[in-house]
Amino acid sequence: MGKVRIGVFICHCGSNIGGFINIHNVLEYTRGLPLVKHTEDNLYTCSDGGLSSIKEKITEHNLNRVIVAACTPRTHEALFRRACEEVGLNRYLFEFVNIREHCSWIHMNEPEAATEKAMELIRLGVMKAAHLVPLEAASTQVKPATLIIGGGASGLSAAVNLANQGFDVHIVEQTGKLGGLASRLWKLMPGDRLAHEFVEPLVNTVKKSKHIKIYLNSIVKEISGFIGEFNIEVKTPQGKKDFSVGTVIVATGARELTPIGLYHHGELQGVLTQLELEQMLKRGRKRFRNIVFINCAGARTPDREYCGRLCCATSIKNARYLREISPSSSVTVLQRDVMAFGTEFELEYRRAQDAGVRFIRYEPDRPPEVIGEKKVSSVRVYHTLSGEEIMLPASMVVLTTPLIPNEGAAELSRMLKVPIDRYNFFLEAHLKLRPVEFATDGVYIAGAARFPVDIREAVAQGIAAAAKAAAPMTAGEVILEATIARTEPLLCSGCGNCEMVCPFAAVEVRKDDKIQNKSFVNAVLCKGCGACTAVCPNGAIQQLGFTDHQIFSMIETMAFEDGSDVF
Amino acid sequence: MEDLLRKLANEFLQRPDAECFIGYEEGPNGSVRPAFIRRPEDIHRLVWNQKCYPNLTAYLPDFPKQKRVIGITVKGCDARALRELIRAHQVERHSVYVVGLPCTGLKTPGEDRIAERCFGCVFPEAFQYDAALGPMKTPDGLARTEYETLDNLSNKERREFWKLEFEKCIRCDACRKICYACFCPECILDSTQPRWLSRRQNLGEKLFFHSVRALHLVGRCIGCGECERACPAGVRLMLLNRYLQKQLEDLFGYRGAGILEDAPPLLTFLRDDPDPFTGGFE
Amino acid sequence: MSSENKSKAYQPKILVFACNWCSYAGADMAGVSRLQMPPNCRVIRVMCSARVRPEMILSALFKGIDAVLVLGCHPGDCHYSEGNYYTRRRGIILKKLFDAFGMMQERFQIRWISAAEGVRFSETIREMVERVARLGPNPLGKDHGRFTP
Repeated sequence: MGKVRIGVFICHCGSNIGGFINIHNVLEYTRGLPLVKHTEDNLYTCSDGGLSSIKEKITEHNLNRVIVAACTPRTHEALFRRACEEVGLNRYLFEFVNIREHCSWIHMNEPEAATEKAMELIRLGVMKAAHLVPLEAASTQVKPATLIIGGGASGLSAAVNLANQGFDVHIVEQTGKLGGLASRLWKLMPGDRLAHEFVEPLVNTVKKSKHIKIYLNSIVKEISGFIGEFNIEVKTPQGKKDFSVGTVIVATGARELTPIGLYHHGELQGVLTQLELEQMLKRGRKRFRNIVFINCAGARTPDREYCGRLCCATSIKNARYLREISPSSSVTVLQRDVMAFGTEFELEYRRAQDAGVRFIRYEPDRPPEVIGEKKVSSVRVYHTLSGEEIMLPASMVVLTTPLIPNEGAAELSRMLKVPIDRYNFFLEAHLKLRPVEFATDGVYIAGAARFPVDIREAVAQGIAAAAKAAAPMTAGEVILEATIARTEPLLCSGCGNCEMVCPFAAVEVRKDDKIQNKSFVNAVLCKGCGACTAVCPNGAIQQLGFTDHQIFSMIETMAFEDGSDVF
Repeated sequence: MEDLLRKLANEFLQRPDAECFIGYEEGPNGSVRPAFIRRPEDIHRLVWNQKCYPNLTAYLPDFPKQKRVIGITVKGCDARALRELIRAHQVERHSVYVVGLPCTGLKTPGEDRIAERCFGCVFPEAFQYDAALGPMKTPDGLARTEYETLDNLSNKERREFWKLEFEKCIRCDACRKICYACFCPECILDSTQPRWLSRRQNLGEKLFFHSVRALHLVGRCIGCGECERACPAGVRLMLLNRYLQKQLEDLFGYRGAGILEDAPPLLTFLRDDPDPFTGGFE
Repeated sequence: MSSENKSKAYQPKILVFACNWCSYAGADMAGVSRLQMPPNCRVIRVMCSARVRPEMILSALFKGIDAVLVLGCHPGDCHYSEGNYYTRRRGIILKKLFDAFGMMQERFQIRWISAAEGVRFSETIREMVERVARLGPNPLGKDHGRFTP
């Protein structure tokens, strides 16, 4: 281990930690731990002051390992690693101990026990840090080209953005034309503009661009590789096409739920969805009689618990249009809650009411009943506020249904190794901090494929995803994982267990220069999961940064506090 | 049959690329031990009888990889071990000359009945021998013979049983040394970084030793019982190994090392494997 | 030592392995949500539950740690796509080993916890602590009741 010199920085995090844990006692305890050469506490270790102190003390006390005991590594680990690097200490000689989310915040009523736990967690951290070694991450080239799956509003916006920056873009669209869901709408609110006035210019810009290749009526068949070089196979009407890109943007969008059978949709004439209504309006129909909208049709139910976000706005929009086009018709909207958020939608809600649209509240356990024989004739509903059951004559019932992901999401999720939720919406890396990226490097998400969005949001996310994708492509290279696997040839028997379990085919057993079978790790493909290490009979292959020795030391010191077998 | 064996060994040693012929010879006090024959003059030492306990394939990984060929005699169980060694890249098929021994059961040492280790015997179906002294197939009757198990012992009884068994264990490592499946250049149980196992002679350490052995053997144990035979303290190791093997069969349909190309159970998975870990605790 | 110390109640010590992408994040979520739970667990972070090798679990239990809990992503959701399938298999076989020995069965558990499941994490910890408290100290432990208060 050489002369390990550990510095421990214990954070109060204001009162988040300091208010529950006896930092003084922890400091004293830590000072007594082996190999610890410097200990201090900070109010906020992540502040400029805290970071400066770390850097100063590394130099002053010749520290070669640094531990910060504070919040979760998932937020600030990179920050502290950078600080170490800035004074010449390898960033992987840093260890984070979580005494906030995993200690002070969850044992707020047991300060003594929390303090003891914090001490033990720091002792564990010291054992791990003592066995850390410097690591270097490899890097790989990034091709300046992007695959965008889906040619709707978000995909097209991303494409234009990337093309303007000089990158090559491939758009794969499964239908016969670009424009997505937006191009099927009639008018857009606010502004009352026809949807195609917005969509067409965007489509034309894309078509004219020299940098953008479009594949219509095509689907992505296979994707292999990793950030910097994804190998794509596309099935087009003209046959198979192969190409490589550096990044991939998933913009497969959404479609309207068409709930066959719900409220007799598909069974009675006159029961439509909002999109079907808009097609009618597009075709120029002007005469309507009594129309009843049923909102939350197929949403906010046990089967589909989410709220579609924009369906209310859609119903408000179309309800008002109907009153304007056909003032003699009655338009009633049956709703559970009106989600008219923000300034514009609230104003539109008022406008619709002023235009004579009636809004009636219903309860989910007493849904409206659509009545008719062959053709819809009326709707019976229990009016919550008045406590009466009323009958509404209806020549047309429009179901306001939520958006659901387009088909192929599950298959794409498998191909790209990106997660989807139980509704087949894609899951981003982090809801707040990484909203347009996947946990998988080099793959991004934009638009309704992630969750129902309006066109503004779709465009914004498309531009955001483009910006994110542009980063590694502009840099030209990307730094890979450092905590990857490594084989010690002297210990390796060549048994091949590691090769069998690697999810990324990153380990291969082959003959070395002494014709002995040994395992070799491909540093570019290895993602640092550690599955290989766990199945290696004697630990010949180890995951750097999470070695058996490091973890064993932590277990040992937990079992025997004096750590007699560790050193 | 021994005449045929010596004839085959002689022919083998005439080959220019022959390195050595591994077989059995008589040892002291009526025992049988491994023989490494390199000269035709020594071929007369080779024997084949119902005391040929050792699994000779255990020596193969130690021979440096080279272009020379090693002759070896294998019983049915040994052939299964050979298949596993080939699967684990320890032996290349073309570098061994395999002579099959048509074993119908070994005798319990010192007694005139079939050894318990031979119960449940299964020969590998699809293995191609280079030569054989007779038909290489699972002997009738043995495949269906029941052997002793832990099944009838309650939890508490099992605990007590193993406490006593492991009290006998002196950590001599003989079981590990004799096992064909233990071929790592340095065994994890000897590792110093980390020092998983100390030399303390308490129950915890012994449990660790035998648990690691059992788990590393899972799916690779051929049931040859050499570990038990080698143990100077008579620890009933086969009870443990056979118990786990039965679990693999019941849980995953895994039929045993070297018999068929079933996937090694700890290195593979099914998406719908049984999952006792969802939900809360019972 | 005073008789007071000797009579301190047994407090289980539980080693928890949590995978970085799901269960560790779930534990963070529990913290952020201020869900209170008993202070008996020590979390060791790994990148994937598949990293946890049986020797770690055996080492912990045979050296006297009262219980080991391995947490991973729900099968099908592993960040490395397959890791937790190996964890699951390994766990099943390890349980059979403990069955053969007639000991430690309940002291080893695996649970699947996603990044959003702070509540499930806290419930899991609570259940585990209660269960292990009922079982009593690990009979292979060096000295009982060493963990205070």
